[in-house]
Amino acid sequence: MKRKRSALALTAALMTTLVTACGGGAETGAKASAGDSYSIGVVRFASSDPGSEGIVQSYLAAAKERGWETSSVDPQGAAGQAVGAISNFVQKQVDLIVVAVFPSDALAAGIKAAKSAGIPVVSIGGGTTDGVPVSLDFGRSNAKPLTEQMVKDTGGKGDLLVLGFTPGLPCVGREEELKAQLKETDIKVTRKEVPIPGQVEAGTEFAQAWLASHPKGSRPLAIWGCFDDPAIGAVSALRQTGRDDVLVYGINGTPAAVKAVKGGDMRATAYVDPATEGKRLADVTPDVIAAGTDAKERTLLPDVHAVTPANVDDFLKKFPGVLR
Amino acid sequence: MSGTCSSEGAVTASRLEMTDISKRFGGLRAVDRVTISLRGGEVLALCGANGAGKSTLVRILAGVEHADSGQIALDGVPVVIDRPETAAHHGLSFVHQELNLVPKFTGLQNMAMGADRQSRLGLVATKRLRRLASEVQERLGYRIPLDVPVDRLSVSDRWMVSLGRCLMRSAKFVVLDEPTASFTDDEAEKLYKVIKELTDSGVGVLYISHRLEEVLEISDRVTVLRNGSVAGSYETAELTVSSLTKAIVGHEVEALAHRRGDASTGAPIRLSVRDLRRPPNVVGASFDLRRGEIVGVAGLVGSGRTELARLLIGADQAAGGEIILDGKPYAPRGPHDAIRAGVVLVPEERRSQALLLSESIERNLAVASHGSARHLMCRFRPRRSHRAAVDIVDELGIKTDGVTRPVLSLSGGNQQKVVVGNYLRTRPSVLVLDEPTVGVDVGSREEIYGIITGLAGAGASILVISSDFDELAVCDRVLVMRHGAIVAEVPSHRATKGHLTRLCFEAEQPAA
Amino acid sequence: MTVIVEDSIKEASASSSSTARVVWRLIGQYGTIAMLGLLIVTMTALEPSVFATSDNLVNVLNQSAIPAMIALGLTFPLVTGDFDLSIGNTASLSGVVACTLMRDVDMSIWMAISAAIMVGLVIGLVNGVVVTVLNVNSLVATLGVGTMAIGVNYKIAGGQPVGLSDSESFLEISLGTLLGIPYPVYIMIGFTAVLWLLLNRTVLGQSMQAVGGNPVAARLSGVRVERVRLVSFVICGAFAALTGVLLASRTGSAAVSGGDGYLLSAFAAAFFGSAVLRDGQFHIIGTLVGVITVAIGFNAIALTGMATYWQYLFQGLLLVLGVGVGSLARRRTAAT
Repeated sequence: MKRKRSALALTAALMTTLVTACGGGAETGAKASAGDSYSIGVVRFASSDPGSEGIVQSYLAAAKERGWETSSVDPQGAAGQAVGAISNFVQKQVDLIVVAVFPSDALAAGIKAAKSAGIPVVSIGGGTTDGVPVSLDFGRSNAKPLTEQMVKDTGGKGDLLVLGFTPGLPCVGREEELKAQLKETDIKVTRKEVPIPGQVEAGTEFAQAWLASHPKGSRPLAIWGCFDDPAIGAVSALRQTGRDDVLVYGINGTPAAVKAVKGGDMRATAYVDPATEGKRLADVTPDVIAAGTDAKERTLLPDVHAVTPANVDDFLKKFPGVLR
Repeated sequence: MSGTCSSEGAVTASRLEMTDISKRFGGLRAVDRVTISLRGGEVLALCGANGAGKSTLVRILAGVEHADSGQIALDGVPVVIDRPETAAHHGLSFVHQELNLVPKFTGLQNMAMGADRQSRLGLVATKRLRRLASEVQERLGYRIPLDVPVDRLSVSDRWMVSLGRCLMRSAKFVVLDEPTASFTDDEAEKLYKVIKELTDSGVGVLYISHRLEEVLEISDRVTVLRNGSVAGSYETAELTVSSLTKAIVGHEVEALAHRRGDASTGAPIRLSVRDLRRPPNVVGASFDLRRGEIVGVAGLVGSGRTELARLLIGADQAAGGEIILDGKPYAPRGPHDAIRAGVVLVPEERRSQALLLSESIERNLAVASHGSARHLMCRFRPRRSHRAAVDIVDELGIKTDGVTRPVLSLSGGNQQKVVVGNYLRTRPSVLVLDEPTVGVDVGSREEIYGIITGLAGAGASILVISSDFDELAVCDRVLVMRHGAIVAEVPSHRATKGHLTRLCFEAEQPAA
Repeated sequence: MTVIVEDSIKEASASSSSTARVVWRLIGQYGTIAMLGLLIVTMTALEPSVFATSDNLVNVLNQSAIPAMIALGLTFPLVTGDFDLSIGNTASLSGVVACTLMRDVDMSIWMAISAAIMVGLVIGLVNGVVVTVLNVNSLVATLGVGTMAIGVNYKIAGGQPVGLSDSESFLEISLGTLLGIPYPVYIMIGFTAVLWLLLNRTVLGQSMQAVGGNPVAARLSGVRVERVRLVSFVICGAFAALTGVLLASRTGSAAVSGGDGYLLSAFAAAFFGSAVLRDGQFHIIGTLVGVITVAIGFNAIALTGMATYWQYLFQGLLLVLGVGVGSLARRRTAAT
């Protein structure tokens, strides 16, 4: 009897939370229709993707500050779900939809639906297309300063291990930047595709194999990761083999990478401040809504900070939150 | 050596009482105000037809079911047995009809489960367990294969493992539910010896069996259940087989009448088996089966009877020999071919081999008709299937309040009728029944044999495998199998229990 | 229903236990449906102007269509007692195959779709053969075959999303409407009906259920167990492939891992569905209800603007409550 009652109580309690949760949402769900108050739907990429999550969160915070009503959904990295989320926001008749990371042309049905409802879409790192007039670049520009550093460090010659990730649009852009900069150099590239998940371990394994065939002292050696995780994996391979002659470069400025730069294990990483970029998106939001779906396509360029052992202390003073 | 099964408190005569126990399932009263009592050192037999409430009562005692009302007391102190662990804690051990063994574990591993098996370091004390197990073996006077996974053991060996497991623990009371159903007389004799051992050391034994001679031989007292209530409690000394049968059934039962052996000698041969072999279990079986004939197959457990039956339906492939069915060669590649040719096997273990336990009666009555369908894309007509199920339930006298009820709501005998009914829906011309009355009460057994003789009368040819040689009396003749070969054929009038038993053992070494 | 009891305490407990049994049976059979109903009622109360509109209903059904295909297909191996872990990879591969054929070989849409579904059939067949002929546990077999499918996928696409230059007519499959209702909704309803008939009105479907209930008994009753299991994998593979094609038509391109996410959602929907109206058995309508329930939850979160963590809590809660309460209720029904 006792167990029966507690089971019922549990069921009731859970049901109640569900209902109150919905109720909690309703309070903020009141539609604002005043001139500069907007309703915005945000389609995240995946809660496990720190790069885009930071920008999304600072954008949501900035929007809240300005009194806009927002609603966000996590499609867990699945494009089909993202299309569904966009359709749901179209149903809700929001003023603007922000989509993170998904390539804009891989959300065709959703973006078409948004466009025909007259709702413009802004992409974080997914590129512009018909119906997506504005995109914050998350790829090519992030790779620029750091790759320049790498070419300078190696003197334009030597061997380079590239850890790439083709399915991710930002990585594709970053590798394009790398390719463009390497064109004029004498750097020999070995490219490996890292899987996600398992990116750190893959970085270690690929680096170990590559290090074995590239002994110390032959030529300048460097490892370039299209994001920090595999680069951190490569750092661990260096530590295991006791090598200190290889320069490692990563992108994103994750806490682990910045620490590695500070500790001298990594040559450089590239950091984009999510607060700045979230605010940048919030700043353009009224313009995008005003211009509508047929506005001229434009790409927003982020402020990219190359973090090297030389400037890491200044950098940390400027962005004390990075290591948290 | 005999200390393993009797815990510290067991030596003083203990007392187990179940008072006014009632339990309903839906509209069905399974147990109604039943009172039994059992003292340490005695054997109380619990008798009754299937569905009389024996199993439910045992399940309540085991903490698997919960009584709606009533009380259980140990030595006069009321106890609440709400879980199997509590039952074990109170010194109650159970060997159920469906042995709860882990198939992939060896005999020793199974026996070790639940035993006090850890050494001081918290590791399994294999050596000590093995010593304990060999003590138990010695006590049983039976070599339990300790190192073979139990799914490769025969039914009787599995029983011995299960019983051995109970002897590994301290037990004040042991409940044996239909232990000898698939035992040979020799194995049963050994079991009686063990029971004697147990009672001598102060353990009380609750013994459930359909074999009445056996009940009379080993029990001190008998409690008979009928339709969920106590029909009577007796001192064994004052009972005879016929008076006990009368108490169980509620009316006099006539002994199974012997069929006239020449009933169908003139009928055409339907199935002709020539030197069928699949070593090591079947090394040469030849026999004919005529239209309308019932032929028994006697033999010891392990003599190859079940394996022969499986060859007949293609469940296993013969290594040699041939089968002629209605004058044409018959070589089924699987049960599907057999069932389409009209040959079916009612298997030995109904729970593991014949029933969809979580499904309704109706669903269970339809499986073979799906299996015999020509194409997988044939249409299934639920209403027609429902009507067919209702017809079979009526025809076979399956006691239930509806064909949509779960098959598990039925008693063992009625479950067995469902199994038979499932196969009958395909209108087989050759029906092989492997131990059709195991765990089936006297009344249902009669009914099942009534069904069998009815089918034979309608022209079906029937092969009955049974370890209960008394019931082979319904056959026109009996084949005796030994070591994988058919060694004798006995006409009906000579197929007495004693004669068949002798033929089964003849030329065998004295039991080792 | 006459109970003979002596004292009033026993009487009270006996009658309360029979009431409890009825209540638990109702919870067991209709608990999941009630949860869906509660969700709909709550949402209608909170967002009457947006949620409870025919537009939004169509929107939700449209979103259910793709996950429904893969979950309905998965229901078949689950019915026979097998698992198929390759469905996500099959969906990814079939999308890539369809888009590659259209883009590189200039194949017509319908030919490309047929080819993609053939890929699913072949994967299902391989799964079935590995499970039934090589006698490999289905979890292991489909994990292996699915991993091979990833390999083939990378071989074809090189890891890059396969976009279409002229995708209008292909997108039309997802975007086109008839009487104001998008094609995917018709596709979902049509295939649900076909699969329901297959499972409930053919010997094949009944045999599958028998195999799921007790393979030994089914085999001795003449059911060709291996064949039936094989067919269930083939059906599952084909519908996973169909999912991949529909997904590609919805996103306008095929990502190498585009369909992977459907693996878990399909299992969740099927298991949730097993608690709908039935006693823990997998069935078509249940699976569909499971898919739609998840879609409504997703829709609700977008419309109310609830925080993202609610999405996970909701999805997990739904599965645990649906299946857990159903299972508890069945035990209670049997025990009291």
